[in-house]
Amino acid sequence: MKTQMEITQVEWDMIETYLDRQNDLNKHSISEELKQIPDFEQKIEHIKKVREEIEESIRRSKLNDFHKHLNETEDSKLKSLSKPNTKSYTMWYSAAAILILLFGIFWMLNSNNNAEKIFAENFKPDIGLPLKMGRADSYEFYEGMLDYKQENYKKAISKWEVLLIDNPENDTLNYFLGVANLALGDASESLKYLTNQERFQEGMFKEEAAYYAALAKIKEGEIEEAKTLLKNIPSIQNTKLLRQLEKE
Amino acid sequence: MNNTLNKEKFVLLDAFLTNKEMPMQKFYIAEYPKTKYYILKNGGAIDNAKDIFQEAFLICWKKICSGDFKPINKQQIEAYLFTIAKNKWIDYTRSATKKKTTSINDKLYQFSIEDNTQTNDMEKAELQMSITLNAFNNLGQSCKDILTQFYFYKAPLRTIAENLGIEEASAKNKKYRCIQKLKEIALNYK
Repeated sequence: MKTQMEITQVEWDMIETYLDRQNDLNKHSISEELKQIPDFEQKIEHIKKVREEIEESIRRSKLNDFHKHLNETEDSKLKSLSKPNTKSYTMWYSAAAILILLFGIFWMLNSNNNAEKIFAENFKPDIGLPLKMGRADSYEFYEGMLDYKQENYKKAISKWEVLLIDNPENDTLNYFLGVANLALGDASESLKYLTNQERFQEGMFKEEAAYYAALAKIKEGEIEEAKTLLKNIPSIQNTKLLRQLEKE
Repeated sequence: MNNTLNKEKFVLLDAFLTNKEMPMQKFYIAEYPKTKYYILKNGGAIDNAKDIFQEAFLICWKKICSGDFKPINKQQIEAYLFTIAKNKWIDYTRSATKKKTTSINDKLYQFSIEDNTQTNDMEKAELQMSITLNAFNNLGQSCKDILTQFYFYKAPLRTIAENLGIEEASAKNKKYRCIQKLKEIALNYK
């Protein structure tokens, strides 16, 4: 913005009118009246530039606004597990209160349910991969991984399931699909991905896949099968869980 | 299917051409992740992703408005935007690498001087824009509103005047005064 150039309001309005007409009618000849303005060509260029800079400034500030909305969307995704997206907060507070009450009753009635207790004590979703990997190298995978890291498991699952169609034996996809389903509390669905230990034998998820498969088995009440898995594929974590199962 | 494409083309293209915020915001939110993953995967950080994506979005926006890019459907805008972002990131990483290597090579040093001239022009333009942007952000709200209505939404002065409850001539005066104020603030930033 060349701030030194002095342009009167009358000149400014005349030039803007000319520029608007020029836009509307493509080329519009410069009127004699306009030519009377001292340095009219420079002033036209100056006003053009000012208009462009103002419009671009506004565009840039709009982009920052868009990005703020993006952050809000991502934040709301993060909160979506604990605070479902709804306008009716009262309804959800009531539902939460009822759930807490039911959970309390359930906990009291089932305090002897050791399997659930062991599961709850030991289950913590895998932290996920940094956004870089080799075998399932696609944007969809990273999109899913970001959702996973934000605990938006359903979204991650829906993205990875599509990828699994072409890569049914991919250990990474199967592993994270298993863990994501378990994080949603669906042990049976989780086992569909984690049961076949052979697909993990050569990869980096061998011990972890056994660990989460064992946890899914524990959640399903299949304690002996969980023990077998942990015995067959030992690791510090697996052996610790096995000892806990044997104590109970 | 054709109808859907036509409708998408109409809505998004129209949004770019007439600065309609909501469809563009929706498009921004939908398209940002792809660039973000690309940049994160290729050695960048979140801040790089935001900057590169916004630069690409701005270029795409301007190219559509100027008629330099005439997309026939939404997919073309998506592909164009991503290509700009990708190329910008490649340029960025190359220039970062070049900065590290040119100083010890005489031949490259010559290129470096030419590149620097171009870079300086771009930097000057960028600096100018950042001055105007800062000045705009520091304008009073009423000036921001009138300039946004006129220069961004292309609202006629008569409509702006009606919305403000003033005469058209007063709206014209106000707009002029706001531009002078903007120039004054920008001058203080220099």
